[in-house]
Amino acid sequence: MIRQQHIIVSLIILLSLAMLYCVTDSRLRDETRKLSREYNFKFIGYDENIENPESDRRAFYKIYIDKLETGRTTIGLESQMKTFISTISNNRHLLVVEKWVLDEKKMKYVKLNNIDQPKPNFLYFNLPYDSVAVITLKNDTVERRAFFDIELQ
Amino acid sequence: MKAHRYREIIIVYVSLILLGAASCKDSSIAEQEPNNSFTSATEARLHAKIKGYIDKSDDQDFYRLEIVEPVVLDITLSAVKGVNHALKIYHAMGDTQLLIKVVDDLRKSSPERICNLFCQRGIYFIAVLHGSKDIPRANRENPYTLSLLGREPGDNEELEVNDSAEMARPIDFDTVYVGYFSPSYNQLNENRESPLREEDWYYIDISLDEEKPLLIDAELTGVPEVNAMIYVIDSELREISQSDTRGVGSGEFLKGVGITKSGRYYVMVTSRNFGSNSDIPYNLQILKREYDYSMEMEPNNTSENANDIVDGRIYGTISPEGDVDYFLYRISEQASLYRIAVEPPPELNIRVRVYNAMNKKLYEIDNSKNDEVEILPNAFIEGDFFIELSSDHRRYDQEHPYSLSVASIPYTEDSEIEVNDTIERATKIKGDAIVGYTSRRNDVDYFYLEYPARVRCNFTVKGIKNSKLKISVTDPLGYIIKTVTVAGNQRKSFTEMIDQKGFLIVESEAENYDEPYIINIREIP
Repeated sequence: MIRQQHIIVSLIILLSLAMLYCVTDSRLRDETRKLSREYNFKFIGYDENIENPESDRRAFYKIYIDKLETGRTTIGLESQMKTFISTISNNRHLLVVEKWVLDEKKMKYVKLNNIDQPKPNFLYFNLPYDSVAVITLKNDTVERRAFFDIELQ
Repeated sequence: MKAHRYREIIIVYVSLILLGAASCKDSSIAEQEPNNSFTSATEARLHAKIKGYIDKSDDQDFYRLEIVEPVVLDITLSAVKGVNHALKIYHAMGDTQLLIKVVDDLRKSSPERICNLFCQRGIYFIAVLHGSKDIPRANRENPYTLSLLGREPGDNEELEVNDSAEMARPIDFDTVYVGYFSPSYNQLNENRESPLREEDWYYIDISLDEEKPLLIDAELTGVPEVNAMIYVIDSELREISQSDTRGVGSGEFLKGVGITKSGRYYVMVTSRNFGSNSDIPYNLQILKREYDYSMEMEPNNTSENANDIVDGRIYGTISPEGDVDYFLYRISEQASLYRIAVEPPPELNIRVRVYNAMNKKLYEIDNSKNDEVEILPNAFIEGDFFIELSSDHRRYDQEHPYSLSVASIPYTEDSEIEVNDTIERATKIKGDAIVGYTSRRNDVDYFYLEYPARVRCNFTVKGIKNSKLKISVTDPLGYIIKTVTVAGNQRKSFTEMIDQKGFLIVESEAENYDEPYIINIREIP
């Protein structure tokens, strides 16, 4: 009799734990969805192989999606990751970036000459439904070559 | 018959000449040495010409002149080669002789003259002696001629000796008085600030009706070879106002000198650099005007004697040269925005300075050219404040007044707060709009933006007609990210990210001080 009671209590505890897990999991998933709804496009840009701090300027990227200026990244050193997030439609898109750097003498950011812009400075990508596209641009300053990496989450 | 007639004509002619000569008042007198003292003075008379010699280095020749009725003497002492001579004039008062005038131009070989010495009935002594500057030197070869002309005093004449406040002559309003810049030096003037200066003092007793202030204008005409100066002085011998604006040969004018209490006031006329003219007189006239609070009242050259701005507008003149006018605006609110505008007279460029009650300069405006209104559109001021007006290049205009107006304008959380021309003094944006003004040429206005997170903002700028504005958005450090230009009253929108903090910079390239620019700011989700 006592043994049966132990089994019942254990079952109740297990059931409660299972229910708690389910609730927590669904909350986490909701949170993830909510975050996904805040943005479904993220751009990260930075330069590689900058060895001299003096040539590591403050910079940002202007972001053009489908040939429209959509915004700009945060501002940071060229070697630092600079990000931009937005919500865009689920479709195929053209991303073009434009690099601006700080001219301290002029006290303003100026667009880099075309010759110094990342090459390539564009990327076509698909954004499926319910996905987040994270696009990373690594600009190799020695090779003068840019690499886009796209990750769908 | 014919010869007989000629003889008659000649007799009549000669008789006429003899009669004329007999009636002529001029007569020659010779100095009678010894005449080196009052008691041994040579007797002289009006219209006499006296010949004498300065025949010793310490020679003094005294002449006694009895005046039987009031007269204005014109005394001339001719030049004696190589000698600096002088005249001393005494008025006998019983047994004593009071020295009333010393005429000495401090030059050798030049004549001395005083053309307007007023003498009452009585005994006067005139001494001819060496001047005070050069080494006394006798001259037995060349005589001097002492000429004593006299004329009836005019009704409105200076009446020299009037060299100090104690000797000032009474004058009335609206009457033209005649005086002379004569002689060139007053050897009896021992005033430390202006020694030897010949001064003509007048006084006017003013009784204010119910102690209501009045304004007086003083007009002094010009005299060739004389740089005239005029002063108005109160009963305690404090200078109220003075004018030495114009050059040699020109007159002076004092306008709007404020009289705030009844009493005796002096007007003093003098010349710069001992200029004199014994032939051409000056005219002096004092006019009075009623004072109301819309008019400037001189002197108001410092914050201590600033005029109150009572009804938001006041008129005044920048005169004489170098004039500075102070006005006080009293306010009831703690802090507010004010529009200060000065409409200048033609050909004058007025500079505006604003000080707080502690005399700290808050604003300085000199935006406009001649003829153009000077505007400080949005002065943010706490407490009472002073406005100082002056003109550039010390120009003046005694004829045409300027108009100064001060108006309070609504102050909201959107209002720009000048001075905000650096990052450190940026106006913090509290609402979703900015109402700002270009308050000076090439004005720069900084505004500080702050958000809890990174946001994307849309800025809509409404420009001002006839102006050109450059609007920039910066990163949190103040480095410009984006700039747009708005010309005239066009409306322009642009979007930019704000990394939690940033600045808006509005720079003017063409100004319209009269109207505000408006920037609306909207966060884009």
